[in-house]
Amino acid sequence: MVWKLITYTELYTPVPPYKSIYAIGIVENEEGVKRVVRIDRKFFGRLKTGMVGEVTESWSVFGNIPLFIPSGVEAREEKVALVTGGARGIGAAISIELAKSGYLIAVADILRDTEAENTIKAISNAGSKAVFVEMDVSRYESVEEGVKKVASEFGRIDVLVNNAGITKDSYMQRMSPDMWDAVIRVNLTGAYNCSRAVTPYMIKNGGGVIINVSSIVGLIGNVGQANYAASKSGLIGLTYTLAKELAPYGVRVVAIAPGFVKTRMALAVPTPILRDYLRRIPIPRLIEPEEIAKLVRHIIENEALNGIVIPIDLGTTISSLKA
Amino acid sequence: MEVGVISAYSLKYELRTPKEVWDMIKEVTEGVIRKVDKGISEEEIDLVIVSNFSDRFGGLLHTAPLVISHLGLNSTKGFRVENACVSGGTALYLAWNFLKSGLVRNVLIVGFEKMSYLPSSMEINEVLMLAGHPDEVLVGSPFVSLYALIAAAYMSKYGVKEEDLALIAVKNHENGLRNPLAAMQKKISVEDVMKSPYISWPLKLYDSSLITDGAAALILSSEPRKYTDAPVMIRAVAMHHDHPGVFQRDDLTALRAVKKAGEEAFRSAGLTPKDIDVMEVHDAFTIAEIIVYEMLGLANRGRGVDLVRNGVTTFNGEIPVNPSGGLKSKGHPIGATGVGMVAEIYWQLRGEADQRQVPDAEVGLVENHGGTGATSVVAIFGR
Repeated sequence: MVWKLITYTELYTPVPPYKSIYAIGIVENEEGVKRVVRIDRKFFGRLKTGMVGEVTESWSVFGNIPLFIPSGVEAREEKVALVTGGARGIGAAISIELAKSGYLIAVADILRDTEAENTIKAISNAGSKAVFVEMDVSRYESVEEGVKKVASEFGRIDVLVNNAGITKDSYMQRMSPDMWDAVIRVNLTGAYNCSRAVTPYMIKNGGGVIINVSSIVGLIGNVGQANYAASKSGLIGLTYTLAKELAPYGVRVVAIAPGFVKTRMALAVPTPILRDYLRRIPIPRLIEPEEIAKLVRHIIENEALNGIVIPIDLGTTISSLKA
Repeated sequence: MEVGVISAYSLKYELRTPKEVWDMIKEVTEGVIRKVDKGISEEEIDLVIVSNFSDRFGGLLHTAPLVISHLGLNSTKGFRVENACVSGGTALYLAWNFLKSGLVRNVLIVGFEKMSYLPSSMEINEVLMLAGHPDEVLVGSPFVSLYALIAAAYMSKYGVKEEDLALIAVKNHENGLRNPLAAMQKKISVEDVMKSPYISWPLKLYDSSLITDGAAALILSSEPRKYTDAPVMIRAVAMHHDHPGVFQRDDLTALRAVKKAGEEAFRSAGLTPKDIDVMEVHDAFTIAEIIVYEMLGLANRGRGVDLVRNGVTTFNGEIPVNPSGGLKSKGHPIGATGVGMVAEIYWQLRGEADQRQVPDAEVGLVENHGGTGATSVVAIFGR
């Protein structure tokens, strides 16, 4: 039976028990029968009075909810991922992996250098498009400006990967307040800044995914990395909280906690420490950045994942006595 | 038999009151008795009608005997009424009918709601949502969305813009500045309304009435001149209904219950809209006030917004509407709302409205509706 949409509203304020955003419409059939229906948020921005479609029933524990599906409206457009620290290391691998999956990529990084150019080229070779955004994640104004640029370039933001991170290692007693602040500002405040700036765009699109790149160091600590460990633990608290706050708007938030990944950051660790580390873990090698990227892609695709920290660490956490 | 309002009392409405709900009830009960010009004794109250939408908004049920006990446990009878946002109007309707029948001589109406009893607006909206049609509850449509469906249909049919709806919010906030009882005394501009976030497109935060705590009380009497030389006489009270679901209605842009109740009230009172000097109407959302203008015969269909644009319903206009600030600025503590509207007209017709006094107001009208207009009470008052 064909139903015509005669009026509709996009609800941006979630209400229990559904705690979700969606559109609500009134539809009418040829016999003049009217029904109130729900319309999935993926159609936000594309509904029009007079559209026709069908009504199906969607089972829920609260009852069978009538769902209007407009005809001839593609549910998915091209999707956009913003990857901070996306020019190099893990961020570059994630950018390229998501480009292969059809995402348009906003590569945000502090510097447009040769590595950045190579990443942009790789995204293009993967058949997608990239925009480079010069962004200092530790400064909100810079983030806001960068996010606006992405939105104006690509029209939407579906995925944010808070990957930008730095280290300034030292034993706590030798760690200057500047070393502490710098790491917290980039790794933790940066994730808050970016999450805050992209959330309105995600809500407007009807949802999104935020992935925070934490670290096993945030779970088990590490000598010489008080600032880094605190920032990565902080990302876990941020993940849990945002996952609760943003779920009603269709935004999922997940953290990953990699072990040592084969990047310049890990290779900067003194060799004896790296060797000792490998002796203590069940699979004694470094993780490839591409392996992290595959997990990120899975988190985006698997809509049941929310508010968790996924270690990707070759078994480091099970081998650790936290000492 | 003539029936008049002989006293009114209201707390200042608040967004989040520190008062306990029982203290709010006691305060308005004592206040309204104290305010009777020639005095009234507790045992002269024959009937108590308590207006309260939900025990989730205050944590109390069975409140009529609490009030009666507080009055001294005489032979007074009482009960609570719930009719969504028109619980107060319904209490008025019942009191008026009881008094006209001669069963009672004096009725005390107490309306209250402490909406901040629930911790978040999400939970508050869930409770309010239950006043819709079960199909609307099933799809998860809060009231703002139901009014948004009406607003979207109205805007599309009559070419009205969001900026036009905003004029109602601006007017009522301007009025609220003169009312010390208003919960949000804040001047706003059309730009402020347009910049406020969408709650349910096309309605924004500033198109919506306030989640409020408040209590108000009235005493109605069939021997009004025994208690005051300046009673406000009830010329008519009419109640009508519409289908509860917006989707059930032939015309999504009309509020049939308001139209019917208005027509009956004007007919009973022998008056026309032109005779009204001041009105308090149910501006739960900006779109509602515009449609109410049309339903009450103040404007043709689709032209309601002209009244505010041309200043007809502004404070200095021909028929000031919501001089109290309305639900938008004064607030909307559900059970108290209709009671507070009558209190405002009582003060206006007695010339006691201070800075917000409409000059020479002799005839006043209250329109209070519930749900998206499934029930409407229209009452007309005169000196």
